[in-house]
Amino acid sequence: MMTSKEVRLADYLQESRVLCDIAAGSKDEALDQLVGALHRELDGFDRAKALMAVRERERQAPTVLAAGLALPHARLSDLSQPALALATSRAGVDFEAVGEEPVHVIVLILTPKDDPGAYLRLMASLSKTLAEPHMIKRLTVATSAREAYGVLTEGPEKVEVRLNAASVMNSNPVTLDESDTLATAIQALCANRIMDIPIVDSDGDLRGVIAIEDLLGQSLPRHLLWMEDLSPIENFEPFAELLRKDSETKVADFMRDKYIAITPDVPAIQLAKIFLMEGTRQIQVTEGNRFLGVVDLDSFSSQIFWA
Amino acid sequence: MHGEDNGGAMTTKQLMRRMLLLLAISVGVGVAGSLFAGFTEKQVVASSVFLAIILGTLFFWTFRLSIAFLGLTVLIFTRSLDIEHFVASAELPVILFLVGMMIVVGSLRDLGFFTWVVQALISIPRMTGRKFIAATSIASALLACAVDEVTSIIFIATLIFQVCNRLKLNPTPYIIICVLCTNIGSAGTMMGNPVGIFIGTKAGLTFGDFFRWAFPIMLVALGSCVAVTLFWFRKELDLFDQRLKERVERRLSLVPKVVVPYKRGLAVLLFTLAFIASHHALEEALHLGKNSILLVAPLACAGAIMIFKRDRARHYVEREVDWWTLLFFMLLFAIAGTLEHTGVTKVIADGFVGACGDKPGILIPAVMATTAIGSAFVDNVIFVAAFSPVITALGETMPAMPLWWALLFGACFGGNITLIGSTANIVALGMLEKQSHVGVGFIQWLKIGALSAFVAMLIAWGMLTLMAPHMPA
Repeated sequence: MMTSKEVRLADYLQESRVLCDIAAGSKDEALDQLVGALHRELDGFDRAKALMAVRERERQAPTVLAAGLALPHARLSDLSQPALALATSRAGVDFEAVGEEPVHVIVLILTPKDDPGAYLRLMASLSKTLAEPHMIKRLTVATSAREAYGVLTEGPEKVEVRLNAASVMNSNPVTLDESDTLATAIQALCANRIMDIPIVDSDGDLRGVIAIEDLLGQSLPRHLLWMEDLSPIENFEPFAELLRKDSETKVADFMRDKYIAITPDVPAIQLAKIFLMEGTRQIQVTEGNRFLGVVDLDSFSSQIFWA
Repeated sequence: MHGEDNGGAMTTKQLMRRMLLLLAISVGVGVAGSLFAGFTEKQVVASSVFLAIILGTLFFWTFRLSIAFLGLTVLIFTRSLDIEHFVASAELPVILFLVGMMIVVGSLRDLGFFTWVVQALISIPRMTGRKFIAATSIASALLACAVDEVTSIIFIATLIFQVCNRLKLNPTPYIIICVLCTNIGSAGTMMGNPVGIFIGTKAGLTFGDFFRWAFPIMLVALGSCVAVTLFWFRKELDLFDQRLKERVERRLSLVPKVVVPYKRGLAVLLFTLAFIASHHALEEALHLGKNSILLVAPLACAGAIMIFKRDRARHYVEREVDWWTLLFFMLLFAIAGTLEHTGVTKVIADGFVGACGDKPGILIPAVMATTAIGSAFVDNVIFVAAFSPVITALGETMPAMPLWWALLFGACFGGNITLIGSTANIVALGMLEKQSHVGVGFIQWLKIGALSAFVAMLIAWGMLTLMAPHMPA
């Protein structure tokens, strides 16, 4: 797994592939325009197939990386080298991501199938470049393709890419406060279809994690698990008491204060090892006690294997 | 008993240093025995190897079995022990008794017996912190009598962790209370501790003897231990009460209460206990050797269980039986037998009589104190295995039964003195560290551990002195 390399964005993105303030009523229309822009410039890949691959990837999980930013992507077998296209939209395009506002900056990444590291390098490079202060806003208000291109490439010519926790983490995950109730936690777990939620205090420090197993563990304590067969226990409503008191029980009573936390500079290869060896689904990223984000196994593996 | 030593994490240099120290001390003591006590060549080898085993458990607890294997090899090579004596001294019946009990315990867990006990403890009406901890510690002691101390503390500690987790309390004081009481309880029957069945076999004591002489002393000592520890940890118990009250006011229980089907598990336990308890009557009625039924009763029960739970039979034998420990015990008994075979224990017994005289009034506390102090730092099974031939030798000139009880109580109650004094201590503190990341300091334990052991041994000494004249010769 590649962990460090220098990437020059200008090698993959030309001004002619920047679409300024596109008129797109849906994400499919936006993706169609971006694929079209690349297809006009590059030979050797099938436009319809490329569009289908990008849409399919987007259908599986929206690629909204941060507020206002999406990085749709696909790996194509008939592409010889990586390519980027950028679109901006002042009105915004709905990418159908739960809890996200419309997207104003879309960067399409197409990479050759036989170069799986290319996507990761470009992704990490774009993440670093687009994370600059006000970058999304400046791109959104750009009045021409030249201006938008200039904004994107005004930084250092080469961006040193380190594929580490900072580049693959979700810096805006669902979190709860210690004083939140169990009812809020259950709502957050179920509505977002997630299994782990970090608990963060008002100072932004990580206090613990609540996982779906913690709720199960409260209902099925260890001494019940000693029995080989629990089927003779009838009329047992394991969640009855939990749910009866859910609006007054605090998540602090349930959360686990033992979790795996790493600093943002931990390389991706170490993350892979932690996922494999510790059998965890979520790794917390912290700086001291300060909570920065999470790396979830599913999104991590999507980025590694399914880009 | 032994240090919590992660042998796997030891560097080769550390290993070699400890190994050299072990060899130097054990050989040095053997040579000193030759120079000052007139040990023969075989006595020197036997005492050196036995000391190496003791030091091996202190220095290399995690691979003590390796030391035992090597020690046995040395004894065979030096002709201090032959295969015939090895087999005779390995106490196979005791090992099989323990195998049978471990299988029975495994089935009791499967059948929900321990779950039922835990449910019963958390369902105490009008519960308070003191009531809960007193009931739990007494239950732990009695459970140790019925099964064994390690099994008992594993289940009881799990309950304590659950309750303390709900109440957001540091479980350390409550775990210490329960462990101290468990060690006391382990002296009540011959199933409570491996030293119980070993002493029973060596001394020819029956289940009835234990119930008549040891159990009442254990009960009084247990009462003292509960009182002393509850007083010692009174502030922590006040906090327990306060947290419990707050939770009850919020109408939240400690753990979900369920009706556990316990009857089959209870029946298995009662049948096993009844079988063991009736061994003497059956042996007399059937003209069988003394304790022959006692030693096979758990095996018979285990056999029946394995037929009824055919799908779990292999699991019981492979996973529920602690083969590592039992193999160590077997070699340990054989090596301790060499001490007797070569006459080392006779020399020690003579020295003991020379120092303490042959008056039971002095020998009872002397044996108890020596065993307690030894068991506080060395595996009590090792100490009892080494000391039992001394009691046998002493018994040639005086009534041996009070001395056997003194040996039992010294070994079991002495386990309370230090945090490495018994396997139950090690297991419980290991669980505590794993669950709560809390460590207990040596001195922190020593203060309450030594106090509770001292009070319990005073009681045992007094009661044994009163009971000794009524014991059979």
